[in-house]
Amino acid sequence: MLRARTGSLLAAAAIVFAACGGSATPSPSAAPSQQASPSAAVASAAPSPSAAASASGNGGTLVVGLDGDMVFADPSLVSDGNSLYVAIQVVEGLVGLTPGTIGDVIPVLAASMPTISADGKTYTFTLRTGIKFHDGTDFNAAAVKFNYDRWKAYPKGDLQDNAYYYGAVFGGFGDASNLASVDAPDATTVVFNFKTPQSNFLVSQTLAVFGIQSPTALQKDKADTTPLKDNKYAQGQGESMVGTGPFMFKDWVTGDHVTVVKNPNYWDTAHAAHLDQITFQANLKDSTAKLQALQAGGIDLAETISPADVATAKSSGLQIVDRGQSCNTGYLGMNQSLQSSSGGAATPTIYANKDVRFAVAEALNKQGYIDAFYAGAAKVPQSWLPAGTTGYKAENMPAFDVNAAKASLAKAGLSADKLKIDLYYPSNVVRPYMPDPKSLAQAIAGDLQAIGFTVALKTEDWHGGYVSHATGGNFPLFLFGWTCDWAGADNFLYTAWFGWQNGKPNLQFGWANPQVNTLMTQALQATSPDAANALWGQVQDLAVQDMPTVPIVNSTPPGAYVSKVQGFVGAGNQTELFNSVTIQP
Amino acid sequence: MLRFIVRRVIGAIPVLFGLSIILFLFLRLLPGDPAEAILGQHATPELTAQIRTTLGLDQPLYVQYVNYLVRLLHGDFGSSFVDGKSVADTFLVRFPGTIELTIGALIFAVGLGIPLGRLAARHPNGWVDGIVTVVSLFGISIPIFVLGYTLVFVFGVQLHWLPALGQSDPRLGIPQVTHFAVIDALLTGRPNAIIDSFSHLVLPSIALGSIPLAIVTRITRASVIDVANEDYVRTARAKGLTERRVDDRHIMRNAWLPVATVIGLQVGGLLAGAVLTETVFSWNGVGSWVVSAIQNHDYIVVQSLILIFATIFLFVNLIVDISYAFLNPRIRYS
Amino acid sequence: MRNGPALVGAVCIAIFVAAAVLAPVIAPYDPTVGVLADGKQGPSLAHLMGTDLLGRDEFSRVLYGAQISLTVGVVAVFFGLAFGSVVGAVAGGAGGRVDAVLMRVTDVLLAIPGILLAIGIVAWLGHGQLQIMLAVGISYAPIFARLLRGTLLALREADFATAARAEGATPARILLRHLMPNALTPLIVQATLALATAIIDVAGLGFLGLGPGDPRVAEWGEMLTDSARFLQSAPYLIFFPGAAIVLSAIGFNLLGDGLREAIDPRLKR
Repeated sequence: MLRARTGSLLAAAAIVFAACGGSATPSPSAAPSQQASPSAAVASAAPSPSAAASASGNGGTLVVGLDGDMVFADPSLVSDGNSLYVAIQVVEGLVGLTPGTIGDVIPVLAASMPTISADGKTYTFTLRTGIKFHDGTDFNAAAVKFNYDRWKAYPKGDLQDNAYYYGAVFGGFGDASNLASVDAPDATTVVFNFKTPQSNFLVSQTLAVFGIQSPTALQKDKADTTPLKDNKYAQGQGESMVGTGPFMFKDWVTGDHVTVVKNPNYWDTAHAAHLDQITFQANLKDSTAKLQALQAGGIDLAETISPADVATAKSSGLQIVDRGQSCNTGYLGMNQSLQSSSGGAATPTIYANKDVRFAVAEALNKQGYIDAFYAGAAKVPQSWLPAGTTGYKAENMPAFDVNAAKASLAKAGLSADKLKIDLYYPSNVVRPYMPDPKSLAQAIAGDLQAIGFTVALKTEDWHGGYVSHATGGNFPLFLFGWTCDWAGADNFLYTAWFGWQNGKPNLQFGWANPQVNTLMTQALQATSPDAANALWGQVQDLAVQDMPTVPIVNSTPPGAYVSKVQGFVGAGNQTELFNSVTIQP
Repeated sequence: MLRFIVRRVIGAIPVLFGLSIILFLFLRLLPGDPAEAILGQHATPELTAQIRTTLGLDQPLYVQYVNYLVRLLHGDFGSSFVDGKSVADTFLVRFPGTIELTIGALIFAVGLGIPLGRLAARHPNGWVDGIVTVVSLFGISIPIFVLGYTLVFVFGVQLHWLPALGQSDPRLGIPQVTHFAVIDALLTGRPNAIIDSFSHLVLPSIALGSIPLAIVTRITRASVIDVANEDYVRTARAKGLTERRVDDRHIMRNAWLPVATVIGLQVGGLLAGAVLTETVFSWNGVGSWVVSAIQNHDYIVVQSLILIFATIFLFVNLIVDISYAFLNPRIRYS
Repeated sequence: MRNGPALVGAVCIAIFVAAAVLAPVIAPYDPTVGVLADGKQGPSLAHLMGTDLLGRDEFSRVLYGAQISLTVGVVAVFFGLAFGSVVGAVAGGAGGRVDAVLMRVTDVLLAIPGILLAIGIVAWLGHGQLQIMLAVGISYAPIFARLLRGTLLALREADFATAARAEGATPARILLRHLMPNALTPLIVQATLALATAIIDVAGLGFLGLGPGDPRVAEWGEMLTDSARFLQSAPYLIFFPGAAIVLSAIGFNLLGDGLREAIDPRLKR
């Protein structure tokens, strides 16, 4: 009776009271005192980490929260962000990126940038000397050749299936690879011979996938064993991920965490790691759990946090990672030619009409979405690529203008029943360019209804067919996006969206402009960066005239860390190195 | 009794067999593709088709099923499409976590629920009963994830009394031997490690056990009230037996039946609740594993896991049914 | 006074039902439309319960939400009770072979945690109101079946049942007249608890990304799930739908208790 009512009111009040309890105090580390400092052995049984930071800020264990688990401990076999985030700490390639940038390519294991032949088909690298792999063997040209030959020789089956990036960059394996051969004429010279010029070669090699691993370790642990369930190297059960980087792979508990430890013999002493150990906590899918773990001290740094939590994080005394330049684009896709999922003929849609596409583009309040769903950590796109990617050209994108939108729609002259449209959004997923697809879809639906459409919202699970239905052209109007593999125009314009396949325009949009295809093919084979960029610029000019899709946002997903962490440099492509990080006492 | 047990065990085999077929077909009917889970945004029709061939998914269904069954009978539970890890290996790593969580929740629910239920039943509709009722109502009315977030917020973020996530503090460097956090901590012999592992168990156990707590409390209360009104209890009281003796010998013995049933049922519910709890507390258990496997269309993993769950569940039910016979001798099993 | 709690429960439910029915009249705003710039504002005179992320009035959404949330709970439990009682009554009443077979089938269904069953059903049939109710209902059916069967098993051996058999009553008559009324008690308790948990379970499914239908339509569980991440930044978005769920759950429970006391033949004495 009255008791029940009062009781429930009290309890509810308690919840509100707790929730309104003011900002949390900055969290001290929960770690009790530690034991003696560890040896740097790779596969030894677990020593405990060193004492929490000494006065100089050296040492200590950093706990980093990732959204999901690593997939394989062989970087050449992964293509997901979580695996790459760990791998880049441990392996290095011939080239890399200046920390904090998305496109500034610098030599890493190479001593300097390569000399390129006039026809663009030969790249000659001079390697640094005195570098050793984590297992103590020497790094040299033979090791580089070994790695590239190994990937090219991956047999059909799960090795080729998982080595997505080699196939994507070089066009195939074995004889189908555009990389004809890699030669090592002496210990410090490597020569790459291509069949046709490839303007995206250098920037693509900054991925951790192309990190050079120790041939000795690869052979000893039979890293080419297939099927992969029997492959100890890839499963992290042997000496795995043996590279040259500032950290070394230590262990991996499936579904829980990956541990790397400091490499005491790192070749670049000026950039050696300060931390003793990093534990990547690999199962923090839930955004609230992540925020609270940061506040309570369970983790020190979260790779990404939900934009909805940024304000709370700041008021709790957490630092927000500013990722600078974006390397992704979220967009509203408009399909001009709907593919039937049963294999019948394609049907033209209202989006084949350019006025309708412009009406949609002008109806969207992109800045409103950015303020509401991205905590301001995003920009309204001025082209199809984010600013700062190679080949970017700023265009005159249509501004948010409801009246102009209504006028465009009126010009299109659609009948009332044609104004009933479906908008598809993915469920069960967080993408960097779309942290909250459901809310974004509702907001867009509202904007479209304001200019005269009647919008029905439809959803499919991201893993339940959304991607293949979107890329297969089964959706008329849909939310989608692309996170860059590398910061190049080719990755966005050609790989992601407008590259023609099998002589037909990309099924996602049905944008049948053959000039686009010609321009992009030329750009891919251009022999100089300037030539390539000019061609990519022309492609963007065509896009803004035709408006095949509406780019909505270039986002820089926020991350967060506790204030005792110093020296962390965030980057828009989330390739971030931890060797500069220290934990202050 | 022995014959009963043997018959049940034998009877379980066709059930599991039928379950495996249903699961197999059902999973392959689901829209989506494991290839998409592997490729993510990089999926194209050619790559997807290639992966399907590698995984053997383009073979006729009955061929795939027979292959699976044959391997299963040899003790091979298969491996993940996505990361190639064997189901058995990952199971041994992740299942202990869920067991610890389940035991913690059961201890909380039963340890607190039965006494509370009995307490409430002593004076039905009294003020004690009212409070207990309200508390248990809250237990079931608050979704686990809201309760979990609130508990972490109060005890982790604001008070810093208890940790926010995981089974142990990675900074302590506790080697994972058995993957039972508590046992691994005990093996190191370090007091701070042992305390750490228990402290990580408290909040998730409360969150997961909140619903069973409410149910056990209310069922115990209802059951005790029912039995307390039976004639034989009145007779016992009239005979002059103390309330305590009446309670233990007459009431509880008979009140156990529905309570035991519900506890047995709760084990299944605990696994379901574990799915949410493991997500909120980033707990490395099988609940979160099976959900991500379903989302990734990792067919073999889902089939094998659910068959394992089913076996465990049948086993637990067998124990519960046997306990009926002990608790109430009038129930006989032929 | 014994029916005091039941009365309170009934009144509680009546208020929510009234809210559901009268929502189009009372609600100050359209629950599906909002101004983005007005998003995530705390309670104020203009918006009694604040606004959600998309700028929609929370108070209107809570009112309209009653329509769907109450329906979801009732229909889901109805599915479960219907399927489950039939199975449980047959098993518990007949005993022997029939019982054994039915219980094995029930065990199989119970072996799959309800949430996975629900995920499976939604994955198969797609997102939607009916699919969710079906999924949740089916996940309850085995529990009702087992509970009913267990109680019936015990009651069959009770004195009054033995007496009825001695009088020559048929098994069906014993089942319906003597056993079922006594077996109803735990079933009703479980059903009232289930009514409350049904709404929670639907919210839980939403947490895993399986929400029903059109997200613009207000539904308490979905509102709660979507706002759970705002625990620290906008707790009022959790509090109001949460309170609605909790209060309606309490109402159902009190009502169920009252019903139990009213129909329990032994308590009548």
